[in-house]
Amino acid sequence: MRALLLGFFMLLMSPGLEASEWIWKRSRILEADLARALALPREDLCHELGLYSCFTGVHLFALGGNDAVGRSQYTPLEQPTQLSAIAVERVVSQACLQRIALDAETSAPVVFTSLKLQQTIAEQSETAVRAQIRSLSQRFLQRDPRAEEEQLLLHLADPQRFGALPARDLAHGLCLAFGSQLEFLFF
Amino acid sequence: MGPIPLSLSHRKASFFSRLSLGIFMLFGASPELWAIPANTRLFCESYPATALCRNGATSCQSCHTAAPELNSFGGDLQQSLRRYADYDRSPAAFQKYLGSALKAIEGKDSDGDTFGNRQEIDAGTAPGDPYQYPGAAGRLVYDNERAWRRIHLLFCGESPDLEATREQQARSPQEQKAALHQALDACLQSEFWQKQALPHLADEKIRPVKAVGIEGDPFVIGDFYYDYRLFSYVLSADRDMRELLTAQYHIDAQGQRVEGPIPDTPIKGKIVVGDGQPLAVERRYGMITTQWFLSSNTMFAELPRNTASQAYRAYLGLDIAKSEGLYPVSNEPRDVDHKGVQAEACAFCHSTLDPLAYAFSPYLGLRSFGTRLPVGAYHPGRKQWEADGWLMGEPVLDLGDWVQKAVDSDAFKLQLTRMLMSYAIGHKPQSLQEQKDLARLWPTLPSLNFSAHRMLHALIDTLSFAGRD
Repeated sequence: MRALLLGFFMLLMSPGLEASEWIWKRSRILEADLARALALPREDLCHELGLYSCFTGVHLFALGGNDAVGRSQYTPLEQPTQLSAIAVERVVSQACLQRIALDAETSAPVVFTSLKLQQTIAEQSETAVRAQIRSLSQRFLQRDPRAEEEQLLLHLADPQRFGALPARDLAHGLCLAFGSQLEFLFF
Repeated sequence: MGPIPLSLSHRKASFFSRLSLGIFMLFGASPELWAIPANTRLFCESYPATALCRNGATSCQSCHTAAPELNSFGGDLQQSLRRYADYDRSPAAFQKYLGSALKAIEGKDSDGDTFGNRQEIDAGTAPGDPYQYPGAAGRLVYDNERAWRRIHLLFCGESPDLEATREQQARSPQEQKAALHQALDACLQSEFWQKQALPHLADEKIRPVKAVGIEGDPFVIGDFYYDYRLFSYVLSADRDMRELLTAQYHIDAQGQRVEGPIPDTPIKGKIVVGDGQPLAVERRYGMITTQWFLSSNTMFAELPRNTASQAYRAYLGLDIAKSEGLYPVSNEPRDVDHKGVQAEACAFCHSTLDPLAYAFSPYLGLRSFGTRLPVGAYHPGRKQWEADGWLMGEPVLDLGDWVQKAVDSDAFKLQLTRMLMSYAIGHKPQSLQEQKDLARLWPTLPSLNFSAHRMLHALIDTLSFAGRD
């Protein structure tokens, strides 16, 4: 829930976004970008019930794709709907969890290289959190984080409030915040 | 328990009930469309000088989002009409009160963009679309960074990487511009563009149905992958997009050109009605004479109206169901196949549609008319209406003539440019800037040798593609 609220806050922060000016990053492109940002094979990104592909099956239409051959969907949605927002959150969240699980199990993490995922948030240094924020910004948005973004995200690592929680939760919150903001979802 | 096997007769029955349902859906279950063509003209009688009218008719979007849904202007107009006590929604009442109902809402700002409806109608901007308003164009500046990102995402299928983006940012504006076009060239060769994005542009034109395509079970009425391959081939490698309608070849599964007919091939366990390409070279006309196009659109019809209207809609951008491209022909419809199209509610549209379909009539759908010719073949015994055809106000001798007039038309250039632009900007052109860029670009298609690649290069230079406030 915290990560979700933060994600929405990040949406609001996205500067100068007017609906008519932006292009929706639809299913296949979102899948490719998410796979690249999290260094995961596309086919491992997200499955509902562990079985059904989120991008090519369950959420294809809500994410802006269409399956002309299989389901006779000849045109995709013109604009995102309420379901699109839910689907995006689910696929980003699942993909983040996949990456976190992989990085937590290895001595050579690929994406969450600055956080110590087996420890608590209180045990993370501010430098490490800042480095992780910077790395995720570059992976998702191909740019360094703005000062206000970094400052906002540091609240997620507040040792007074969240210190006892596992660092995996922090990783999830940061990942979801970047993967669900308008700048990543529209271009 | 596995699926219960059906006997052949059951399978046939099931197949034909599906087809019957399809035919009912196509011809029997249409909503009442008869008042619409007149309405689009009545609007223009009130505002003959507005750019919202072309050939004396406005588009459905002046009042609708997607008909029958009304936009904010259409909603206000509806309210305005209902103020008349004897307005009963009949065409006569509509005709009687439309002028005064329009006048009554001229001062209103239906779409809330701060410009009154009359101001917008005079300026040629849609009074029901907040993204269109007088003076909306001209505020944009071209943003190289946005263009860089969009080219990679739209044509390579992923964001540009960090290093490449930093290199781009370090270039001079002229170098950046050149790099944009180099990036587009590279992306147009990518697997994403060739195998995913490009074929999807054809979905609405081909309208595949898996249940009766090459993977169909038990019936196969055509292999629509031939259609997808031809579409992608013609829009690649600087080829001439007119070949969408003029190609006399096919593209096989290996991507090679095949000249001449391709025989149907039996598939074990399936009932193959057609999975080849039966037409002789001289009867072949690109996407609109593939076996799939003819079988799935014509089906059992004697006069292939659905085939003609789909060709008209897909390649000329004119949807008769939306009152577009109506060029009534005198003494039509003759109702050559006795379908009752001379009824008052039908005649207006069918006076364009039936003559549009005559040139397709010798091409077989699923009905063989007592011959052993395959699905999609040319039947020389069915030429009785072939030479009576019309396309956009001009007589046509046969389908070859139909196609030639089609590819020479402005509608064809506009439709292909609009298709590419809609992909490049993520939606159908709407804003004034987008309309302006579209109007400037489509007439240049001949000078670009009708090449999709060249048009895309022109598109990425527009403010519609990468303009920023």
